[in-house]
Amino acid sequence: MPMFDKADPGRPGRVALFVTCLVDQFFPQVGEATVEVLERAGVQVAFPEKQTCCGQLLANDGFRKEAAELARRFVEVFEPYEAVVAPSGSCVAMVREFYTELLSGTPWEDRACGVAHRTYELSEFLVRVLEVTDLQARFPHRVTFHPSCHLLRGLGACGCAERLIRSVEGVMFVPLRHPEACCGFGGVFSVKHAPVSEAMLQDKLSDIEATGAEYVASTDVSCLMHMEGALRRRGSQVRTIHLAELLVSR
Amino acid sequence: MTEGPVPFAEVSVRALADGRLQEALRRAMTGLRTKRAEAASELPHFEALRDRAKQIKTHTLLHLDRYLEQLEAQITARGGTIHWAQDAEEACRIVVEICRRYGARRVVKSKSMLTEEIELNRALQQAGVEVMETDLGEFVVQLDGDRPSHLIAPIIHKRREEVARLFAQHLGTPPDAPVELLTQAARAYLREKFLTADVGITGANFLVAETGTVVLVENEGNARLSTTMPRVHIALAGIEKVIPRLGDLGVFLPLLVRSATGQRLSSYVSLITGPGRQEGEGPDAFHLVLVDNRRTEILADGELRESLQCIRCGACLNVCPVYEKVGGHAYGWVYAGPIGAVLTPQLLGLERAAELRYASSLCGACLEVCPVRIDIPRMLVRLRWRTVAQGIVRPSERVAMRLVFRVLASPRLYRIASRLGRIVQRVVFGDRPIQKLPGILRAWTRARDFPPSSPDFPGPVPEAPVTDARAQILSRIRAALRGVPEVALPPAEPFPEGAPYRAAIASSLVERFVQTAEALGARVLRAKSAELPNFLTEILQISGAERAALSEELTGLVDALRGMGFEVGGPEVAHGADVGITGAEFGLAETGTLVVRSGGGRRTASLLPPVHVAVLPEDRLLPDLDALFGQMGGSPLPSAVTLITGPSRTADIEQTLTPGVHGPGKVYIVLLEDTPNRTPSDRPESLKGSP
Repeated sequence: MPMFDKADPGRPGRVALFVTCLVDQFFPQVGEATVEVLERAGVQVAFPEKQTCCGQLLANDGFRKEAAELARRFVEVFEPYEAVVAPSGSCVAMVREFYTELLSGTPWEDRACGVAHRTYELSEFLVRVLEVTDLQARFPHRVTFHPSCHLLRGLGACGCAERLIRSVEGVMFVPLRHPEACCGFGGVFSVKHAPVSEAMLQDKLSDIEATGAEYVASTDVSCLMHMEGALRRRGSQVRTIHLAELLVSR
Repeated sequence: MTEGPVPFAEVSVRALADGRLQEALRRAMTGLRTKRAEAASELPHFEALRDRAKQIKTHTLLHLDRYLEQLEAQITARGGTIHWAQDAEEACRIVVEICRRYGARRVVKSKSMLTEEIELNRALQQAGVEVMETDLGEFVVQLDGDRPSHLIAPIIHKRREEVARLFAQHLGTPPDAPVELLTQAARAYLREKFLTADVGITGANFLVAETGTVVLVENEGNARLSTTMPRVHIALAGIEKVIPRLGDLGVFLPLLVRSATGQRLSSYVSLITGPGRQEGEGPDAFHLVLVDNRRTEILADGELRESLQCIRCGACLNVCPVYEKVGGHAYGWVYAGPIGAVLTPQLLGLERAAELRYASSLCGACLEVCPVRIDIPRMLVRLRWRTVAQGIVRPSERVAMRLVFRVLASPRLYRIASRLGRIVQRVVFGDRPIQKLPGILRAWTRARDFPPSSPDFPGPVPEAPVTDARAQILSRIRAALRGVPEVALPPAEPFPEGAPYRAAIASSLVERFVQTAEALGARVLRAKSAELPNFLTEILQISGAERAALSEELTGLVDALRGMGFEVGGPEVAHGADVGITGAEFGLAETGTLVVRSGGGRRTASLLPPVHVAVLPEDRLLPDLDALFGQMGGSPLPSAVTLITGPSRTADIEQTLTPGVHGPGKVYIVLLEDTPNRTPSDRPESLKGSP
């Protein structure tokens, strides 16, 4: 039984969009597509204006105190909503896996736990919560899918995104040979150990190109951003696309 | 520690530029990953095993004092000696002192990460003792003055040609010798060392508190030789290696071996309980050195305690995309890969290995395969938190991150900073393309500034002062665990998920045993007792053998074989014999394993000759390890129980599987369809022997 009945979209603002800072700053079209996908799935989406960032950058760089403060803010901003949906496996994994630890021993711990339990990555929210897989999208292209590490291992939701892509009309899905391999982004890792990160990236791009896909889709703009520049430099014809953009294509 | 870690970034760039290394790493890691995945998926209860292992390890660490005391009592009762060492220096001093007491001139060593950690070889050499590494990979590393770069494949970074050059120089082999010849040359060279060494030194994969047993897992046979031939066996182990019960090995052995190499069981598992003198073979003295070396500090650290659960399988290295690119040397010290990035800062101190915390994209592949489910990514993040909290961070980075935080913590500022990403980039990395990496280059210079080493081990070795290391370590453990909630030891009961798998094995013991053993390269023959002399004659003929050594329970066959023209003797002629023939106590159908108990010369007769023939009554076949430990439980163990699974093998040189490196390269198993004149209960040799 889905938590959000499609026939009764319910009271406004039950589902909040956490757009994520990367999408907000660099890929606003992904944010818009996410809202459209959710609305097509029958959900009314609220956008809490005070949101900023989940704090992953700071947490992963070692700045615990600062990350904890951002976590506290996130909990405060999103607590009123019944569900929080983000177009990013990585940010959601941050919320789910680290918030209670970051806020442990503070009055926010339990509240963080509550919010973490109802924060979802877009594809898992569609498939597991709304039980929607067909969004009447059409995308007549050869598409491969790169599951971000956080989607695949952090959330265990790789299957959801793949199901959504496969059910898009016209998509010819061509799987990667090594979908489980990290693309080498890793946030601060890609800067601190850029040569290693690039070498990992080249392997990923070769895998993508070997599929003959026109598009590589992902649930995370961080991976896509990382891959896009390098694909261009390689002179590759493969383009990157976020899952939400793919799902609103017609 | 005389050397600090080398800067990760610097070594990783060199590694990336080395095309042959890249290819070697990719090939080896892909192979190991695939084998692990296949081995894990074969067991329907593999995930349940991981859960159980985790629980056992968690429980044991939270009662570490109790289990160490139990282990000590058991080992002492079996005539062994326990030593406690608070740090590397004390551990080395203890070993040197033991060597001196026995007048040891030569020591053979089997692979042990702990002895690398405490730099035991250096200490022994300083004391005038010759030390030989005998694991093929470690031997190569020692000849070359190099360092191992992988937990279980130490010379993964070396090409065959390099090994050939090295051996040509030291062992006189042709400079273009193939792997097989290199392996045989190492066997011959090291065999001489085994036969003349006074002391054998090993690590320990597990320490069983209940029985006082040191468990050694290997493929080559060098650990068997190290624990069988010299007069003295010294095992060194970190205090975290203890497990409560013998039966827990039924959980840990399959997890370790399947995770490490994807085998069902390694060629050899030795269960060593005390010295072997009462049984007429094996060492006269057994010493176990329990080493703390900052482990009690880790135990006291609720955030990182979990890292003590590591069983050193190497699976996290094999799946790590960063390790695959940079190799083990980039991690700068003894422990490489994801677990190395977690352990090294804890064992050496944060300030000396701070850089390693960033040597991960946090992709989580390590956690996915860790047999004891250590949350390595989380621990790396926690280490990052800790280093920043301790001020180990570039000032510019701190300023930048504070600024980022300021902006992110304020919706107003966040909105104002319209192109936040650009600002972040400009502030943190400068206004240049990230590929140019000025910041990183600065970090390298910083890493090079790590304080240089402490002075060398002093020449004349001082007498080991009487320390209260035991009391100190135990009291540190108790202090570390004060107030930590208990975790119960899970009952040793079978896994429901594994029931159909086990039932399938139990229903066809013989077929399964034959199939698994032959798949490993052993040859299984089925015979009636009366036909045994004929079968053995045939095996000796096929092997081109002239001399055979028989263990004592087979003395009745000596005349028959002599009558066929062979030179036949007891176990005392095992060295120099072409074939060793022994009885086996049990066979395990799941893994094709022979269980050989010490005594009657079986330790040497099954080990020294290039061919081993085992005689095993069919009614001694058991389904698996669990059944075996069920049979063995409750009674004192003999000094050595050896699980033999296929021939001795190595894949150290370019992952080329080569049989017969130290132990027998050929194994024949004669399954007796009948067992005249004796039943299991009145067999003279039973595992439930007297201590």
